[in-house]
Parts: sequence; C-alpha cells; structure tokens
Amino acid sequence: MDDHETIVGIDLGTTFSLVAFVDQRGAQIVRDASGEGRVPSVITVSNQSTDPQDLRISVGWEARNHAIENPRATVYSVKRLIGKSYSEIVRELPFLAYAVAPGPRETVQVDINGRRYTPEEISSAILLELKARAEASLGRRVQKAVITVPAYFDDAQRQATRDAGLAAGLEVVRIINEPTAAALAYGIGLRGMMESEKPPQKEANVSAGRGHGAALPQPRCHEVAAEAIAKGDGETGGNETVAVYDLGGGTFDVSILRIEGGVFQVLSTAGDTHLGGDDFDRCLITLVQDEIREQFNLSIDSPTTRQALRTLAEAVKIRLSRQVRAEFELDLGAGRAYRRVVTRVEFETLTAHLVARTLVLVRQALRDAGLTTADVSQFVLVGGSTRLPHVRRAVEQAIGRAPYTALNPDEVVALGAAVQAALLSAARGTAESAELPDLLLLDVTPLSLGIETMGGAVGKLILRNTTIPCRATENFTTFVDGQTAIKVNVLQGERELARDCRSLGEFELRGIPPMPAGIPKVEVEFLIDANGILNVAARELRSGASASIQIVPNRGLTRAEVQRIAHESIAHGREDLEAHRRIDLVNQITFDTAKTEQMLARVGHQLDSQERSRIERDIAGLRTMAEQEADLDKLHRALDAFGRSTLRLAEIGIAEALRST
Amino acid sequence: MSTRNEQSGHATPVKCGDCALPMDFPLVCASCRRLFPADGLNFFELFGMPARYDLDVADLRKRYFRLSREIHPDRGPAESEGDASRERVSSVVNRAFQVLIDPLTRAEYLLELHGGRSSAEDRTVPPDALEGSLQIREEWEEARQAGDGAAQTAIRTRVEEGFERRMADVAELARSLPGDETLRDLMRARLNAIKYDQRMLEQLAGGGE
Repeated sequence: MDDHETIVGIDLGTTFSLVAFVDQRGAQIVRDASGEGRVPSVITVSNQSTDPQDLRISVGWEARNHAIENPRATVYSVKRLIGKSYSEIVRELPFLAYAVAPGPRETVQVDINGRRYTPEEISSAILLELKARAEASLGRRVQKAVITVPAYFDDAQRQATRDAGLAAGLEVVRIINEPTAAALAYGIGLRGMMESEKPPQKEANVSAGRGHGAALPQPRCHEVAAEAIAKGDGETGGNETVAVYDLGGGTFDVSILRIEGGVFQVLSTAGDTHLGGDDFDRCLITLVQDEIREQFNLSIDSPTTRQALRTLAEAVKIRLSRQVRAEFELDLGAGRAYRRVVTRVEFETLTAHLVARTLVLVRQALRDAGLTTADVSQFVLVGGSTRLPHVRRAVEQAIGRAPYTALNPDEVVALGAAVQAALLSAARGTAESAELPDLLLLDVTPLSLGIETMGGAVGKLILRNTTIPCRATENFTTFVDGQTAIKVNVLQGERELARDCRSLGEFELRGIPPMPAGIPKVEVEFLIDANGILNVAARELRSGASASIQIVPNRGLTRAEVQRIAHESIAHGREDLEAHRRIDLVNQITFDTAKTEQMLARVGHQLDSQERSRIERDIAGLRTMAEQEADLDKLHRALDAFGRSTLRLAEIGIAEALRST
Repeated sequence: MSTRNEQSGHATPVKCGDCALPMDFPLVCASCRRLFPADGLNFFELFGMPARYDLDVADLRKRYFRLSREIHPDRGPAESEGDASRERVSSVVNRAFQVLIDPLTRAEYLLELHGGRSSAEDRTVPPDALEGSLQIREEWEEARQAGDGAAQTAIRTRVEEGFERRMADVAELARSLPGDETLRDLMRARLNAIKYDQRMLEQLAGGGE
C-alpha cells in the first residue's frame, strides 16, 4: 500500500456535497473543469435497456438537471431521511417527488421503479462520486475519509452516515461536526475561495491546480500556520470565543467555541436537523399550491409538479437574495397559467418563523455555554442559506453588530474536514507534506443520553454538551429467578419522558448466568466516542463473566446489510470507478490542451520558437495518450507533466489577461 | 507498572515503567507516549495539581489542553484497548476537567474526596433555604403574571446575591477540609441548598423564552 495515503475531507450536505484534501499547497477543494466544487446531492437511477438489472446511476449536476424529466427516480435531500425512522419522516412526504416506504426495523426506504434503496445506499452513491473525483484529482486511490455531519445529528444519524461511507468503500476515520469543521477553517484563516475570486474559467485554475498558487489567493498551509501561531497557537497564546451559525440546505446548527493555544474547545451546541434552505423553499411551494387550488380549483401534486415546484421555489428564493421582487409563471395546461410576483418583503414575512427559530437556538447555545453575545468575539456565518438577506439582518440585530461573513459559506466545512483529516494522518504517522499547525478539536455531544426507567421516565446518564469522549456506567439486575436477558431502552433527548425522546434502540443484554432474581449485577458502560457515536459494553460482576454479555441493537442497518451494500456497490462500482476516472482525465486533457492552444495563439509570441514548438509537440503527444493509454496512473502523470511544462505559458497568459481587464 | 504517589496531596511526578523517566502527568509518558489507565487516581492527580479548593482556573485549562493533546483519540493510533484506550482515558480526563473547572462541583468533589457524604446519601437541606426558595417562587410567579419586569429583575438579582453568599460560605468550608464530621455534614447541607439556588437561577433565566 501507498504510505502517502491521503485522508480526504467530505462535506456530505443536504443539497450539495464537496470533497477536499490537504497537500503541500494547503487545503484544496476538488473542482470540476469549470471550477465548481459543489456536487449536487442528487442521484437518478435510469434503465438503459429492458433488462431490469441494467441500471445506470448518475450523481450530481446531471441528475439535478434532469430531475423534472425523471421525478420518481431522482432522489434529493436524502440527508433528511438518513438515520430516521419512518414515523419521524412522515411530514417530509408531501414534499418528496420520489416514493418512500417503511422498511424493516422501523427504517425508511426509497422506492425507485420497484427497487428499494436505503438512505445509506443513496448517500453511498454520492460518496462514491466524491471519492472518484478525489481519486481523479490526486491520481491515486482514496480509501479513508473524514465526513462531516450536522452537530445536532443523533447517534442513529451518525451511525448511518458512517455506514454509507463504509458502503462506498471508505473507512470513515472520523465523523466531525459541520460547525466545528467551519471553526477550524476559520481559526487557521482558511477562507476558501471567495465568490468574487472564483475563477470564471479553467484558465486561472490551471495554475492553481499545478503547484503554482501565486496567481490565486489560495491559502497555503505555511501562511496559515504563521497566522495561527500569531493568533495564539502555543502555551502562552491568547484566546478567542466564536459562535458558528450554520444554516445549510436542510439543517441548522449553532456552536460556541473557545479557541486557545491551538485547541478548539466546543462549549455548547444547539440545532435542528429539520431546518434549512429546503424549509424556506417549502414555504413558497405551499403558497403556490394553495393559490392554484383557490384560483383554478386545481390540486397540483403529481411527482412532476412536486419536482417542478421545488426547482421553481429554489430559483425564486435565490433571485430574492439579489433583487427585491421575482416574477414567475406556471403553465397549468388547457390555456391556464398561474402568474405571480413575490416580493422580498413577502418572502421574508413568509419565512420569518424559521429565522426566529434559529435565534431561539442561538440563545439556548449561549445560555448553555454560560455566555452572552458580548462574550463572543465573532459570529461566523456558514451554510448557503446564510446568503439570505433577512437571515444576515436577523443575526446582526440579535448580536448588535455585523456577523463575520468572509468565509465561503459553501466550501468552508469541506476545507475544515480536510484539515482535520490531515491532522489525523499526522497523528497516525502517515502524514505527507503540509506543515499544519498543531491543532486539536474537543467537541461535545449535542443531546443528553439516558435510559428508560420504571414508569417510562428517563434516567439521564450523560448531559448534553458534555465533552466527548465521555462515559457513564449503570448497574442492572434481574426481576425473575433464572432470568438470562435484560432489555435496556437507550434514549437521546432532553425531555423527561421516554416516549418524547429518541430511542436509540432497545439493547438486549443476553447471556446472564441464571441466578435468583436481583442477584446478577450487570454493569453497562455507555461510551460516546470522539465521533459522537455510542458504544455499549456490559459485564456481569457477580460471576465475572465479563465477555459473555451480548448486546443486540434493534435499529438501523445490521452489519450484514452494510456489508451487502458495500459488496454490491463496490462489486459493480470498481469498473464504474475506473471508467469514471478515465472520463474525468480525458475531459481534463481535452480542456487543458485546448486552453493551451488558445493561449499559445494569443501570447505564444512572447516565448521563443523552440519552446513554442515543444509545447505544440506536447499537446499532440498528450492527445494521443488520451486516446491510447490504458494505464490511468500513467495518464495522470502525463497530464501533471504537461501542466508543469506549460506553466510559463500559463503565467504569461494570466498576466496578460489581468492586464487587459 | 508505574509507581504512584499514594498521598492525595500534591501529586509528584511518577515514572513510566517502560522508560523509567519521570512523567508530567500520571496518565501518559512524555517520552514513549504510552497511556496508563486512570484507575485509582483522583481528578486533581490527573492534572498533577494539589487537591485543594483554590486553584488557578487558567492553569487548569492549560494543563487540560496539554494533556488532551497527548491522550485524545485524534492524537494517535487507536491500537490500545481496555482501560488505557484513548477513548476511555480521555473520557475520564474530560469528566475531571468538567468537575474541577466549576467551583461548585469542585467543592463537592473535594468533600467526597475527604470522606464526606454524597448528595445521594445525605439530602439534608437547611429548612430556611427551602422556605426562602418557596417564597421566591411565589413572588416570581406574581411578578411574571403582572408583567412586572422590574420586579422580576430584582428577584433575579436577589437570588444571584444569595447564591454568591452561599457559595462564599461553601468555599470557606472547602478550604478547611478535611475538618471533622460536623464540618463535612454542614458543608453537605450547604451544597444541597445551593443547588436549589442554582436550579432556580436556571429556571428564572429560562422563563424569558
């Protein structure tokens, strides 16, 4: 195996996902040829032939762009389903254009043309796409990842995310919280690329992608390290308290952190895993549906219209972030058309309750941290939905000053995940390259953990906002002579009654030696690890038969199911992956060679004739390789070499382009 | 195995069994980075600090961060299982920091360290504390229903002042530990009472939502 094994950082979002890694140049977002790093978290399954097994799965922009044509086979926002039970997602159903059905053990399944998929499988398809992109960019296999989740994700949602990674052939070395990842990127001065700096074309990216960062404001780790040290990395440094307000596509989190001496200590977190951009869209969707019903006595609720309304609502929302009114029209057939102008004020009123809810959670997080807004030096805004003007305004009003908006809200979480991945590689001695400052994240568990006691009450074992890893032990005994098993209902949540909390499953402690009632003493250890995932261990103290107690959970996927998914998707994923990587590489070569030809035509006269003809030969050579070379690693190296050999031309081209603007 | 200081007073550096080098913290060898289980060590010893009520909070936090850099699961391979696993050792250290950083839980921990009874064993509360608490609740409810913000603020200030006063008493007692059984029982009762204040402050703060 390669000793320079890169652990990638993945932001697996509700609407968009990104992958990033750290190399000698610092933290890099993996981008496509147009400079776009975001991959829509959308997948479409289509039948290529009459053979029902011959399925084609497309992920990302292609799937998103064809959603309306194929509404029942296009799955989006699956993050809102992952780790949830069917009864918990019922209120999502009216907004989904694809079919969802209850699966075994209270799970949720997506039904596409009669075939059932778990949310883990859908997510694993997105992860496979990200993995392939990272592999194409790095030129070698990727097997390990740090994946981010909303801070407020519970145990089941975290486990399901880890299982999705496993199913995609990724060892998930750490699950980290999105706001914490953002804080990490903020703390070391990683800004990502600002929207205004984003290269409109590949041109600028050629230089950034070929080890030459000078033309771009890409942060590099040695600069970053210097900044972090100046900020107080080290024993005597100062400290700073920041709040991260993360409003994404489907979830909201707020975390309060203390940054001191390179340690990022989360003091508290609060959130709602069902509050994000999707909910702002839904306010518009409901408005339109209601008005159409009133005006035309028409109920529009087919999968196609659901999908169309979703696309429309999102577009209107985005337009209203830039302008004060948005006009649109819906063709209802039979000569009928629904026309509407939505003003920004109207949209803001319609969604004011959502913004208000985020502020309640901000106050709760501050209270839990024992702080007031005055104690917090920066309120850092991340997540695409913080582009909404009324969200920014509301935060500003609540804290009495302008929030910090200099981070790229789409990219910062993936960058933070990549940094954490690099820190983990360094700690495991497999680090390559980048000189990162010596940083440590101390995160918390977002929800209290308890067990159901007599009468359906909850006995709290671990309180919310406790630093992880954390553990608690509890003793159990039997009620009946000779009883050999005890059921323990483990709960997560803040409410006092078991039925109001989220059950993580009824763990069954089996294999207790038969003894009179009340004599066995089973000590159960509840350990929440650094991923925020619960590990349960048990031992019987009287007999000392510590290893004999089995713990059988009854929720989510079984190990066998995860393995089946992993086996199936990898089995026919391997070839897909190779094919995918080839397509990416060939596209890149086509793009780079064409770009180089254009540049040669424009500024080639600034090079001597020898260099010009060498570049012309290189272009021809690389194109031939793209057609004939079977070894993808060789092809990748050739592309890299081409980038280096045309570096001077690229520099001249960029300098020229800058002069002419 | 490492040798450990048996006294609960100042934890002096111990030696790593493998390297025979003195250690800053009893949980980890600074040289070979081997971890040791936290069993039998009190929370103060984990950080190499003397077991007393008055401590430098900034120093405690620095030690906590320094120790975490060594033992946190992110900081090394997850090879060791059992009581010296990174997850387990970290969970004990996290708990220890949480208990010691807060003066109230620190006082309570010290009391139990010196043989005092836990709140589960002795729920005694001075009767005047209970009455005072009931009266304040009534007044608060009246002020809330009348929408009298000024009165609510005044009540909150009164509770806060009461809390500070009682906390000062507890601190005095904590400084005279171990003392005799009478002193420890008195401290237990004061701590029980102060928890009423604390819960009430939380409720008064939460009442604004």
